[in-house]
Amino acid sequence: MRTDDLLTGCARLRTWCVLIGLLFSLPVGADPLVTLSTAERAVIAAHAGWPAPWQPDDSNRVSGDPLAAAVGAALFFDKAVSAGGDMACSTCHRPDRWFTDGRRRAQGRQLLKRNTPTVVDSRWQRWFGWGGAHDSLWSQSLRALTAPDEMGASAADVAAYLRRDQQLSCGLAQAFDTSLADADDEALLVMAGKALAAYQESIVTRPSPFDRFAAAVIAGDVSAMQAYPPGALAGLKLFVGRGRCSVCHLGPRFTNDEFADVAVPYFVDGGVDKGRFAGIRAVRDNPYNRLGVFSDADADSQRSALTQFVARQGRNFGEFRVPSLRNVTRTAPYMHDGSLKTLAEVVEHYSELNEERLHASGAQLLRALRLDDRQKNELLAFLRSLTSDLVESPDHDGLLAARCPP
Amino acid sequence: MVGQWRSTAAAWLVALAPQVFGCDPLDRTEHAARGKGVTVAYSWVSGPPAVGELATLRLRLCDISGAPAGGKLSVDAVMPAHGHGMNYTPPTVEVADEPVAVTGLLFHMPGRWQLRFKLRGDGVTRRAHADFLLAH
Repeated sequence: MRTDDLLTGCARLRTWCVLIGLLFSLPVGADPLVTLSTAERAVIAAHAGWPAPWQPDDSNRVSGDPLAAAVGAALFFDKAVSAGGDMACSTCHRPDRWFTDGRRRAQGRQLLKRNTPTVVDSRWQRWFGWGGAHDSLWSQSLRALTAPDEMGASAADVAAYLRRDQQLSCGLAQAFDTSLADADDEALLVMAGKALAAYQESIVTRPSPFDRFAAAVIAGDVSAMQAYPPGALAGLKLFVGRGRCSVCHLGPRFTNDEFADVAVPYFVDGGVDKGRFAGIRAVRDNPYNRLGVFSDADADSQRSALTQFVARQGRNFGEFRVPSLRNVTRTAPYMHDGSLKTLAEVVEHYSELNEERLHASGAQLLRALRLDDRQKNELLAFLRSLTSDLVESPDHDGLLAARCPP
Repeated sequence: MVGQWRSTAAAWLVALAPQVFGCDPLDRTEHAARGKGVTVAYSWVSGPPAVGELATLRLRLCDISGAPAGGKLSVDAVMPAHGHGMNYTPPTVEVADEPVAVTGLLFHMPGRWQLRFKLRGDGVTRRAHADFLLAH
């Protein structure tokens, strides 16, 4: 080979190297596979798979039953079930507001100390309420029905309401396969709670743009991946990388179903909100928990074991439930006390986190992220990509009317 | 004559075969946590643990001679890098000669966890621990 041939070959090689280099430095949206590390792909895959698998709640024998859900739907929207006949579950859990109320703090019969959480996708939750004071959706529903500062109904009120309403009585009797004639007030109250839970379990969401992206990552489908906004992808990389958000907001639901202190003040009017610390005591003492006589769960139920073994520790003071981030754009305001009005404020909170506010004996996990404006916007773009629509609701009214004509 | 030869061969085969001593792992699903005065051989019931899922351990305990160790066993787990443990307390179990199962473990975050075993009996407390990595 001549020297000039060699030089020409080297020059061609350099050109190819430059071209390949250019290809790898293309904007993010060009080929997302190129910009994702193996570790990032693994974590993204761990968030994939929506809707997540679901098993009916074994503590509620009508969980997943369509007729029970139809009765629950009727109860959910009926103000007559409350003490003053002026408040339904849907007063705070408004369908037009993604089953929240849009208020900073919930307004029951008086102003409550916490923000109203959504009931959308609640079928997958392990603990209910910001402090996890309930271990089932039916138990949580009973609290809202009967707490004096919420709907304020007594067992006798609820039982009388059900006995008066022939259609609901019929629906409950069929769903529970029992006669209501011998059921006492408390038994009827529990049936109402379980029917309400069956309805709320039916409110679930479709896959989001993130889910389509995650499925494409797993399949290695580059063209499907390219439909995901580049800004959202950059935000996702922050979320699973430097931000370490996915340490707690993990899995397809973007939550570990546990509790954390994230430096949100827990001082409320007239004292402190003890959060999970009080929640554990409340769930243990609750006669309507999964271990009580009203639970339909077997003694060896895996889910009930968690109620049995949950540990009350000093660090639980001021911890609150790690919420799912699915459709988080729809549930403002944020945090247990509704103190952050917008999602941008939430991102700002984690960016400039006041570490001195963290519980001294808590997890040494959170650090101020010190994000610049571009990174904050990318994180917001990612969170927006978790937005989806509701799965179309079954015809609850039609089913109830068919089984129990009014 | 042939029978005697067979017996001798069998004795040699047994002597040369790899021996499982005390709490040495029986297979690839079993792991060992070695501490002062106690070794814990453990395996996960129903496969490796997943984040946020209730997990159960199957355990054998041995003393330094390799003989079964007994007493009251408690199992805990912590994330050393995070400075916190689990949110659940598995129940204490009485251990004698037979393997035991301990349930009530739930690892609520991915990362490095440390299993901590504490065996109390005959007026002494013996401890062992083992680290493992929990993926997302």
